[in-house]
Amino acid sequence: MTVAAHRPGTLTAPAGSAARWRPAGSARHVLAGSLLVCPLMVFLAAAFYYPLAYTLAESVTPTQGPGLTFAHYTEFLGSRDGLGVLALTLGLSLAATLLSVALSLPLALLLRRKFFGRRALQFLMMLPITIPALVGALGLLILYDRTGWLNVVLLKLHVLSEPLAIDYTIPGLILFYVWMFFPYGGLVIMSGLGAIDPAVEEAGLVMGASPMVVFRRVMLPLLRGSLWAGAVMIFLQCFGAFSVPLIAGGNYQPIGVKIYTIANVFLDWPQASAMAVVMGIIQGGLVVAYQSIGRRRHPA
Amino acid sequence: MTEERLALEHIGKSWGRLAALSDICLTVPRGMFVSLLGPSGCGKTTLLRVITGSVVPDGGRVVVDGLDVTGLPTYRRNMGMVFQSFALFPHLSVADNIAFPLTVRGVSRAEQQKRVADALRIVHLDALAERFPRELSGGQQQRVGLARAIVYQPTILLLDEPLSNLDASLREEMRLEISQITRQLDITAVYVTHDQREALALSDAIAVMKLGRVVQFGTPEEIYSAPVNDFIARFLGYANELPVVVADGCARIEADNTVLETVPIGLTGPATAFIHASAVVLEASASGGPNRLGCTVADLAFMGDHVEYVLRHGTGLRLKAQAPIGAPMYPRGAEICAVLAPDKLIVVARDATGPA
Amino acid sequence: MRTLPAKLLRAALVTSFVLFITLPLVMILLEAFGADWFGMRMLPAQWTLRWFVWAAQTIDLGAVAWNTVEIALMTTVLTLAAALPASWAIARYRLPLKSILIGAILFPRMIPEITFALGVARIFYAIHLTNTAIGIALAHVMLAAPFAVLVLVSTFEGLDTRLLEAGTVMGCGPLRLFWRVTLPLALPGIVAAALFSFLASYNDFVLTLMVYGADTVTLPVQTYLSLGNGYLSVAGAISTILLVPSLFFLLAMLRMVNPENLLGGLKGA
Repeated sequence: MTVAAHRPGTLTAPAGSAARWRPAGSARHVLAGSLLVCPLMVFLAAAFYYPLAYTLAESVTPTQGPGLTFAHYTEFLGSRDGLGVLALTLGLSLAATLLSVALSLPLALLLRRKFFGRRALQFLMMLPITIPALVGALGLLILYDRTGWLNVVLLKLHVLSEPLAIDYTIPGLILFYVWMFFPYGGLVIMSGLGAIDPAVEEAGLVMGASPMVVFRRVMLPLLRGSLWAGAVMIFLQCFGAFSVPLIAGGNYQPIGVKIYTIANVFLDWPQASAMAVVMGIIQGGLVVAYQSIGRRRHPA
Repeated sequence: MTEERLALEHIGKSWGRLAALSDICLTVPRGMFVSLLGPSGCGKTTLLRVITGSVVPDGGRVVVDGLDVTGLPTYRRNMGMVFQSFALFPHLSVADNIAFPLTVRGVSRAEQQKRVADALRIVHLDALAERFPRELSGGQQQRVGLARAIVYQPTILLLDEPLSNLDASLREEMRLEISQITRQLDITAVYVTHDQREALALSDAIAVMKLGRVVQFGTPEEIYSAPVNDFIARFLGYANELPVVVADGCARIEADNTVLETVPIGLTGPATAFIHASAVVLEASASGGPNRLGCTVADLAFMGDHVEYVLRHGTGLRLKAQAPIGAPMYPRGAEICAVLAPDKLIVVARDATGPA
Repeated sequence: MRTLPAKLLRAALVTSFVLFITLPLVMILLEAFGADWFGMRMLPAQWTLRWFVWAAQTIDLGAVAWNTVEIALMTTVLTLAAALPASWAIARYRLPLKSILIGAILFPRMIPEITFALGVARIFYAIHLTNTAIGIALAHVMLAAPFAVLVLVSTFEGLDTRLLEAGTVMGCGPLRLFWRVTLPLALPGIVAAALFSFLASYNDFVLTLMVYGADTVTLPVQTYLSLGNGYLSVAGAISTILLVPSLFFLLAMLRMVNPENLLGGLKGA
């Protein structure tokens, strides 16, 4: 190796030496790097990309016999039922997103100042997105049941004379989505708020703008990017939701649950596959939108 | 012309058990440039925020032009402020930043344009009106900050360490600019800094603060030539300090009882004598005359326009001296004599309040 | 501006927020440890462990819990085995098409699980991987790997090259350098990736639902099954057990990292 290292033109890093982590760009270097990436790529190919391709292929396969067909797409996107599912999913997601942002913004403003218990509140905020969605949904169902705490308290306080029906209704489902997914937006908005120099707000006040004017003319424009990013983030989660609508949706089946039902109950895999592809494309488009917002927020 | 613009009366503020400000009294006449000088944590920024209204004092009054504004919210006080972090609105152009306080005040569009243009001319940024803050250098951003703070002719201009986020080379230029503009516009200004040179160069008067109190208030000359205690002397950059005991108007070095000849001293008991390094003259051998201390050259460094010596006195005292180029040079280890000019020695009381 | 009404308003806001977030979990606990909880009662009439006992007897809770842990451990090992070298290469080597590579690794987290769970179910069924622990673990790797790579790449990129160089200059051989310098520096990131991988698998419901079988029921699937059978209290008991690692993970993470950095990884379904 000593000989090789002194030959002109081969003064590259000897294998295993300290210089290894400096990108050298030699063929050997690229090969070594590629080998290290290999195991993960094999896993991904076997358990993700192949299944994805399989789904794509199945979505254009006729329900019976061989051939190529787009009937499953036209059936989904062209039928009243199919469009109903899409409308339900998008409507639920949109409503839950708006409510979540409306909840996150004051909360983020509140959590901005340092006070006792702030860390604990941040901990609590992470709770809904860390625990299994199924458990959260179960707790929500019990809490908002006709004999759940909310109704019992409101009845005992004589605010209500009849219990509210929340579980298995559209407003209930939206409420559950908000509980489950608002932290995604809240965290983005909090970090956006944290990036604003507190002196900017103070500057506005000193110059004679009232707190409302400062909020409208200074804080809101500066937060616009974060609000959008947070909203897209929440929307993505709502759109892809499965566990919550599965056990708490009742008669309402958003696209995720519908796909599962069609595949596992009606065993119409090609139809389910076509819907899954549509779902994936919508979600993918939103991710691209989200990332372009992110790039605009943090120009490289 | 000595009408009071700002008066702080017995201002107190504590954060929990920590007293940030105690019994601050200060008056600022119209057109005067006053600095609040002190180390970090001395309460100077808190005091500034009491003036703006961002911090509500526990006690005392803030009076502007004879009116008590203590209960007035920040945005109704008509003050201007320049921030350490510049605090420009990142989503607005330079012109819109400067126009912001005018818009808030309902100034007409035409009038706004005229006044923004004037302000930009004053800070020499006419060409950059349409740029955004992130496209400007630190120095330029702070000029915008200054323009934005003066464009609506606030009653008082507050400056919170406006130079500390700038490069050393820019600082002096910006300092001169601030000095020129505030004098030209006859603005009443309160300037917060921890840099004694900035305070000395800019101010008509300086309030030196420590642990939430104003320790000394006076003109730069007064404070520099007659600091009231050793804390201020040290803070102003006096290089040499000798612990002394004063009895019957005569100061003796604590360690060996050597008599120091000084200008008349108005205090008795333990005290500290200070002298600048440049006022310490070196001689080869002891000759007759007052304040001659036999020393060994411990170290020396050539600094271009002068030579810096570190001397060790027999009692363990260390002295710093600056000798002009051309004066005789002494090698390390040389036994020499340091002469402390009596009229350059100041003897001040020891500060009893502990470390800042 | 800290007036009394403002303080009260803030206290009210904080309180309702805390209740909004925590009450669903309190309900789970009441359901799991209480009996005779009907009608207008706020609290159960009696406290009991009978649902846990019942669950242990009727549905072999021990086996279900072990399935869950076994699959989660397998997922963790497989994920680290694949993600560690890949992340090191991404962070430290010049690779062709690196951004496309990273995109390909992160893509599984960008689309809903159900969209590729369909294909996974079909293929695993064809090659008899459904109802096997290793099959489910392999599917779970797709959930864990993207986040593990994100964390590990940023960990490895963040390693101070000067420290590694200093080690070499001071005479550390490559192997010793790895054990004595590189590994201790990267350990927090590796632990975070491992914890997350475990949790992603332990909590997963969607993918497991598509490929589980009689021998590979996990806690989330069992919660769903018990619910379907109408045993609400049993579902509550299982949920309680299910919650433990999440809470532990949350505490551990809050000590180690800023919550916002977890965004890329966590994703409910």
